[in-house]
Amino acid sequence: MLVYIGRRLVGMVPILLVVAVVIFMFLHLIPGDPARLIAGTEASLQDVENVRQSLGLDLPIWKQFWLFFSRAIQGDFGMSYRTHQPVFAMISERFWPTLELAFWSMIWAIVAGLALGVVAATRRGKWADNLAMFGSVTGISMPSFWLGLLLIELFAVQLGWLPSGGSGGFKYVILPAITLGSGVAAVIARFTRNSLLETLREDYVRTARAKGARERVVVWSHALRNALIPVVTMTGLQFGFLLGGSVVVEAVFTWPGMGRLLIDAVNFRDYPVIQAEMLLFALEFMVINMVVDVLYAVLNPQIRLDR
Amino acid sequence: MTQNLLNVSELEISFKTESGTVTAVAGVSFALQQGETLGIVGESGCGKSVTSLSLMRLLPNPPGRISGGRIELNGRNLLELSEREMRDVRGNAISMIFQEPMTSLNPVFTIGRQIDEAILLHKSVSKREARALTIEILKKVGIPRPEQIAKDYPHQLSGGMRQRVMIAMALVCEPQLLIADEPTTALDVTIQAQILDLMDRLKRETGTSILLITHDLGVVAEMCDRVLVMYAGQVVEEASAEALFAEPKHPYTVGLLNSIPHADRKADRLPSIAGSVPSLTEMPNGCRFAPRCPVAIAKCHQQNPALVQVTEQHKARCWLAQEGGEARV
Amino acid sequence: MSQTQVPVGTASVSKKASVDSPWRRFIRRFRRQRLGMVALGVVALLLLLMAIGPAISPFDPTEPDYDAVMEVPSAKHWFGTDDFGRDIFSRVLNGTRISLAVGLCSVFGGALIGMFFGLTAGYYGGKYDGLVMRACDVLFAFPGILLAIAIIAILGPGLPNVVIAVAVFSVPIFIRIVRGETLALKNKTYIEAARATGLRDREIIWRHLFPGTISVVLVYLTMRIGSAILIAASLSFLGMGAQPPTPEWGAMLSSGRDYLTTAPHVAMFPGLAILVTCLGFNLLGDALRDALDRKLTD
Repeated sequence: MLVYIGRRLVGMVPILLVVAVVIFMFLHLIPGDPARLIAGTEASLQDVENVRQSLGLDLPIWKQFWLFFSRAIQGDFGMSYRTHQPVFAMISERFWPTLELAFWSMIWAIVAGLALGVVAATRRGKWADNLAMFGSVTGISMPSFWLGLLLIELFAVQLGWLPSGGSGGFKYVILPAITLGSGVAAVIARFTRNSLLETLREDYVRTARAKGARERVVVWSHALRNALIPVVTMTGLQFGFLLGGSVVVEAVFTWPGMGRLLIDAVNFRDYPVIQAEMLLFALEFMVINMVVDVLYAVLNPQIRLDR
Repeated sequence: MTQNLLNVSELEISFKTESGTVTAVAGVSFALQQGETLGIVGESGCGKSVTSLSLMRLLPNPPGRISGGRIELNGRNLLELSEREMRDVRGNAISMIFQEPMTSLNPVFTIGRQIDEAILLHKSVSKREARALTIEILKKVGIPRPEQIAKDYPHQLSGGMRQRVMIAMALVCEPQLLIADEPTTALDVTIQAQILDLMDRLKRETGTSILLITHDLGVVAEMCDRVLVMYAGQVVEEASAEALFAEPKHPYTVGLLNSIPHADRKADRLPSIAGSVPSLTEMPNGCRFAPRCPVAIAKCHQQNPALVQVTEQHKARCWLAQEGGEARV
Repeated sequence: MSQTQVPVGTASVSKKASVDSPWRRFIRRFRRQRLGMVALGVVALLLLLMAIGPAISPFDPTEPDYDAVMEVPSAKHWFGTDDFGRDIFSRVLNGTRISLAVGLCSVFGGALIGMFFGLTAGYYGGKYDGLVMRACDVLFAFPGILLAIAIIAILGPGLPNVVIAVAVFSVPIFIRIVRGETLALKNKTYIEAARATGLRDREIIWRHLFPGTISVVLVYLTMRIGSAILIAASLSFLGMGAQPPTPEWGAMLSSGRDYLTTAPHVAMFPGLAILVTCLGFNLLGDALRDALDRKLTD
């Protein structure tokens, strides 16, 4: 198992390298002269030249990349164009809130998704199934920012139970987590239903029934355990969706995470921040995918990782 | 007369399909005594597997449904039991093993855990005691190193070993009736013989009755005391195994027997039964076998014969057999 | 269990297989799905509104009317008015054209590019295939909307750039699907026969592989349109897409959120429009997939 994890980590390096190159090329893909862009439109030629030299933009491109890359590995992403603070400090302050939001969203998505999926599969074709599946497709079609506004309107404005935004204790995370997680819950519900319907047709489910096991045990233990194997993979992919979606939800709930920082950075063309965020998001996503692969192997005894 | 262990009378099973409800099994009746092995033979699709599943009330519903008849185990009608009462029967009084040992075991649980579960469901023992019983039964079905195998997952075992595990799981609660649905079809020939021997031995040791579903008359000859031949959802012949092989009364049975290769009979090619089983939506009016029957007479196409006693050991559903005529082709 | 169902299955299939072409079977299976038929109706209506919406809209969608600011829904203003007194019904109606155009253009663009690379990668295989797949991996490394945001960060905000961003976002998905389908088709006998008769690669791909993958692509296309519209609306909501006063649904929602307490209807109707549109395309896609009776992943 450890060998496998190690091998996967090594396997991530080339992709991450390419991703880093792409992200680095970012600044050079923007039409126009980056130095002029950074210095601002009113800067004199001399100012632009100073910027060029101080940022190393006059160096050959491969040297620039090496500088960017070697610094990035050490966590040095340069200074923000907007706030003139170290990018690393800005992001690390925003990193945990985003992770916290993603965590609770995922919990909500998994609990709600699994419950709905199992209910739908075990009542196939009945109204509960139809309702759950219509709810699921609605969840997938629902713009998260709109759902967020509806939840704010209901629970914060009308009922006054929960705060409409900001951060603090657990009650601040409830509405954003439900908003962010509902789309994923919908996907998990659908996927669980279909996977469970398939495993419920398997011979070993019949064997379990023939043993005299209760239907509840048959579904929740024998069938679901098998049905979850593909669900885990899919859920991992959805985690990426969740990271992306957090950008929107953080904006709705003024959540102090990486997503809002990214929007500000895009609006101000704060490229060092954008680069660092993109790299971090990509890294997180890859790590999650690896964790999912490992989980997949744990759930499925037919896979031998160390082989 | 001793009381039968199992009495099935006028069992009718129907399926919902796109083109309406069809009857897959029509008026099947049979009895099974303590310690007896009864074979049900027929081509795939004749209703034999459906019948066996319905004894456990495990027919997938929808689309299948037991639409009539009685299934009595020790005089108790299983069709009138609640689901909870039925669970006590399954795996306890009646057990079942299936055709596909490769897929009939749950891939994510160890062998030991799956047998433990069967024990814990029906016996009030601790987990530790259950595991001891598991190891014991695994030993009994001829699994080497049972302590080790109990910790293995199904995919680590061969097909023959898995079928042994299935048998162990089925017999661990000492059922009165074991239903074996094509238990050897998916296995290699040498393994087939081993599994049949094992079943035979265990039957002698425990006195369990066996209902053996198969399409293979060779298996029937080796294992069964009595045989039921099914065709298109009906029983067409019922006899002791000896009588059936010596003197088949129904042309369909004759056809089946003729299509078994014999070492002592020289033939260029094996005769087979012409035509195919009628679809359930288009049953002929007369005898269901008439369209394929080489000796059919006019009456056969008009009226379906009843299953009648032709000799003491023998029942057949054939006009010719009833009139004392020779069914041999 | 498989055995028990054999008689029933064969009975019905053998009867109908002879009279049914794949296309007629598809139509029959599609028409049996009530929700799918409703979705088809919704999508047809949306396409109609896309064409004639601006012509039938009762008010100018961008003309402010300071005498009628933030009015609640009434007989005159069905959906009420916004902070500039603009008729929300007219704005939502005009927004249909924008959202649908963005969704259709980006997904069709992404599908075309994806099909090209998917077909060629699947057909030629080898190093080229490896290269294409690695490129997909890199694009997949940016989860969800982030890739679109990255592209907006390069190209700058605005609707045309949103179309490009969402298209790029769809490309790797279509590459994977089409490549998988191509690989499955490649080894079929008729492709080998075509190759044996000396048909050129380009003709094999165009005449034999392309038609084989098109049905699956169409199903995905329909399903992707819903999410493309969602992402485009999200980008506009974040201020990276359509700019005010364009009557784009996401942008309308964004400006409506400031009046959530006083005038919730301002944000209500554009959101509802997005929901109904996405629901229509997603349900239609589901129905098409079920009618096609192919195992496709979500």
